[in-house]
Amino acid sequence: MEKKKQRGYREGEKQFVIFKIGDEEYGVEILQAREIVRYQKLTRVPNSPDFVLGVCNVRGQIIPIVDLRERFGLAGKPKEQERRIITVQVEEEIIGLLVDEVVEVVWLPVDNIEAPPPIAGGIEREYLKGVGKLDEQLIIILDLEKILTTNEVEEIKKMDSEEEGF
Amino acid sequence: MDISQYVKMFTEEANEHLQTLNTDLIKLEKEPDNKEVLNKIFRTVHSLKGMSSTMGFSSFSNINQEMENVLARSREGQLRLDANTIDVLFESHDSLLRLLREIKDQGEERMDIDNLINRLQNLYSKPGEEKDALEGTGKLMLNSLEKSFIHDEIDAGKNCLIINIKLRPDCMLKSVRGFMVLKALKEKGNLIKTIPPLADIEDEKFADEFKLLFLTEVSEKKIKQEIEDIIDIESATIEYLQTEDLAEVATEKEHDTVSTFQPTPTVRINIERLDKLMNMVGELLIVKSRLDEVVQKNVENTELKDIVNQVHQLTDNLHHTVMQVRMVPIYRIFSAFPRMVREISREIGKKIDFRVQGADTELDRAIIDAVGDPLLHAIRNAIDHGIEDEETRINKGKNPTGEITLSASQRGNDIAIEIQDDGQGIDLEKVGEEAVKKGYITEEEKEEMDKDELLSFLFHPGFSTKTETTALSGMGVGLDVVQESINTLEGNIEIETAKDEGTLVRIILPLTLSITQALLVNMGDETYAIPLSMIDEIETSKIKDLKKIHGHDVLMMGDRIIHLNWGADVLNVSRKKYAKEDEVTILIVKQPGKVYGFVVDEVIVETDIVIKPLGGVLSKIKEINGATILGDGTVALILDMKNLA
Repeated sequence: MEKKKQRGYREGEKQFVIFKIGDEEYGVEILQAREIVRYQKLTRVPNSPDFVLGVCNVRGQIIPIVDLRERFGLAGKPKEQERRIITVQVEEEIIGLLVDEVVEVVWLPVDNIEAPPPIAGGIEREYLKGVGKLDEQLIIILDLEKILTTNEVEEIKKMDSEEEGF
Repeated sequence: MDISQYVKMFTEEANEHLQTLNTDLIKLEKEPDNKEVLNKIFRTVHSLKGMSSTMGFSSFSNINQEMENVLARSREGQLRLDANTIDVLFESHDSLLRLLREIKDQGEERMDIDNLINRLQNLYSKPGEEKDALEGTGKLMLNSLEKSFIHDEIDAGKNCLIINIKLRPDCMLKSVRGFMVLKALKEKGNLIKTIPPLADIEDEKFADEFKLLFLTEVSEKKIKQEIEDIIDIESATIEYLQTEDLAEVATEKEHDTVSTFQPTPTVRINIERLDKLMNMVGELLIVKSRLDEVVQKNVENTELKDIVNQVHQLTDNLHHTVMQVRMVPIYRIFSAFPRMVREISREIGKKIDFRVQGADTELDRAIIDAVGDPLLHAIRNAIDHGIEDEETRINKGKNPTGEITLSASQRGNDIAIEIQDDGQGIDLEKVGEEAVKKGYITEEEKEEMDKDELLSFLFHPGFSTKTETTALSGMGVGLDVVQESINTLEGNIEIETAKDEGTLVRIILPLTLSITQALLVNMGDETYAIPLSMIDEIETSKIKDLKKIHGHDVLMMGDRIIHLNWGADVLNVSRKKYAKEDEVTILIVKQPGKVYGFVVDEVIVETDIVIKPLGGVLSKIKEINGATILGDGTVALILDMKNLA
C-alpha cells in the first residue's frame, strides 16, 4: 500500500475503504467507517427487513448486519474465509456491512469522483454517491444514508404513526 | 469605622474559627469518644454563634445554634456521634463557609438553610429511636401496607422471621457482609424491612448488628446456617413474627410522608454518564459470565476459582451500587399529586382526603420519569369515577370526605405502587353489559364470566364504563393506555374492586430497567432470553396429551384450557421434531385478561441479563424487546411476551 495514506489530511482528496462484492469494487468514505472485523456468528432477527441478516456483538455493542448483496439484489456467493464486516456510522446508528472482501484503503482526488450513472455495478443511482476513478479502476461509492433510508425509513415512519394513532 | 469594617473583621475571625472547626471535626470523626475535642468544638461553635448574632447574620447563627444543640446532647451522652451525625456536622461547616463567602462577596446571606436546620434538629429530636436502631434493638415499624402483605403471606403458609445478625467486632467490610447476607437470602424469600434501613447498612451506618424482617418458606434452621456460613458473621438469632404480633408492631405514621420526607444531599450527575456507567457494569457482568465458563473448563485450578469468586463478589457489589446510584425516590413524582388532587376535587366539588405513603421508595430514574402519566391517569380515574359525590356518600352512610391513598413499597425486585380509593367500586354488571354491547362477548358468555375476566375488559382499547364523559375523563384514554405505558416499562397492572368499598389499582414495576432476571431458552438453533417477570410457571406435557380446539393446540391444566403458541413458528425458526411420547416445555405467560402457553425447545438456565436496546431498523419489531450478550459473546434476543400471544 502507498505510504502517503498515512497522512491525516490531503487537500482535495478523500479517503475510502474499498471492498468487494462479487467482482465489483465499492467504496465508503473512511470518516463513516469505524472498524473492520471478521465475520462471526449472527443472531437472526425475526420479521426484520430481508437485507438485515441478523445482529452481532462488536465490542459489546449489538449492531445489525446488512447484507449488501441482498440489499442490491446482486448474484454470486462469497468466499467464507474472506468475508468481513465493516462497521459504519449512518446518522446516529452504527451498522455493519457484510462484504465479500476488504481490498484496501485509498485516497481519491475529489475531482476524480463523477456523478453516478443511472446504474453502476448492478446498483441503482439512488444508492450511489458517485463513481471514483483510481488509475484504470472504477470504484462505486455508496450513499450509506440512502441504503437504510429510502423505503425502510418510510416503512418505519409508517409503523411509528400507527403506534401514535391510538 | 463603618459597618463594612466590622463585617471584614467578622469574616476573617469566623474564617479562622471554621478552619479550626474543620480540623476538629476530622479528629472527632476518628475518635468519637474524645471528650476534649468535643468540648473544643462546642466552644468554637458557641463563639461563632455569638459573633454572628451580634452582627445580625441570622442564618449563620441559626446553624450554629442547632449545632450547639446537637453537640450539647452528645456531651451529655444522649446522642451518639455516629457517621451520620458527623456528616451533618461537616455539612453544617460547609454551609457556614458558603454563608461566610456570601456575606463577604454580596454583603448578605442568600443560601436556603431550612433543609440543613431540619436535619440538625432531626439528629436530636428523636435520639431514642436512632440509638436503639444502632444498638440492634431497634423498634420494628411497619406501614399498614407492609402489615397486610405480611399478614397475607403468613396466612399463605410462609414464615415471617425477625433475624438479628451480629457481625464479629473486628469485621472490616461491614457493608459488604451486610450485602452478602442480603444476597444469600435473596433467593430464599422476601425481605420486608431492615433495621437500620437498607441504605444505612450499605453505608456502614450501623454498629455490629442489624435486623432483617424476612418472609420465607425455608426453615429457620437453614436460614441460620446460610447466614452463619458467611465470613465474619458471629451469629444469627431468629424469632418468629406471628400474625397476632403484627397488631402490636408500631404503625408508621402514614399521613404526610411527602411533607416529612427530606431529600438527602445530592451531587448532580448527567444522566448520560450514569447510563454509560451502567453499560460498563453490564459489560463487566458479561465478562464475568465468560469467566465462569473458563472456570468450569478448569475445575481443578482452585486459585483461578478463588479469584473468580472474588471478582464475582466485587462485580455484584459494583452492580448493586451503580443501580443504587440510578435510583431516585419516587417522591419526585408523588410530590406533585397532593396539590393536583386538591385542585381537581375542588373543581368538581368532591371532598377528598389524599394520602401518600412510601414516597421515599426508590426506583430507577428511567422508570420514574415514565411512570408519572399513568399514575396521574389512575388517580384522575379515582377522583372522577371512584369517589362518589358528598350527598351519595352521606346516603350510603360513608364518611362524606372520600379517601384516596397513593402508596409505594418495595417487594423483592419489584416496586408496587397502589392507588386505593374508598369510592363506589367498579360496577362489574355495567362492564359486562358494555362488553356485550360492544360485541366482545354474548349475553350467555357474560353470565359465565368471573370477576377477573370482566375486569380485563377495562384494558381493551377504547373501553369505558362511564358513558357521559366529564370534562376530566374527556382525556379520551382509558385504562388500556395506562396498561400500555406500564407494559413498556416491563410492568404489570392489577385491579381489585368491591361495590361501595372502593377500587385498588396496583402497578408492579421492576426496580431497574437495564438489568433483569431472565430465562434463556433454545428454539431452532437460536438462544432467546425471556424476562422471568413474564413467566408465571413452566409446564411440561407429552405431545400426545396436547389437545386441539379449532385446529389450535391447547394444554389442559386442571380445568383450565391454555392456548399454545409454538415459539419456533412465531419466530420463523425451524420447529423441533417431536415423537408422540416426547415431552414439550411450555412457559405459561400471564397477561392481564389472558393466559397462554409458549412452547420452547429447551430451557437452558435462569440468569441475570443486561438489556441492550436494538436501534434503528430493528427497534420496531414487536416480538423483540432488545437483546443481550451471552457468556460466549453471542447475542440473544429478548422476547416481548406481551406480543407473542
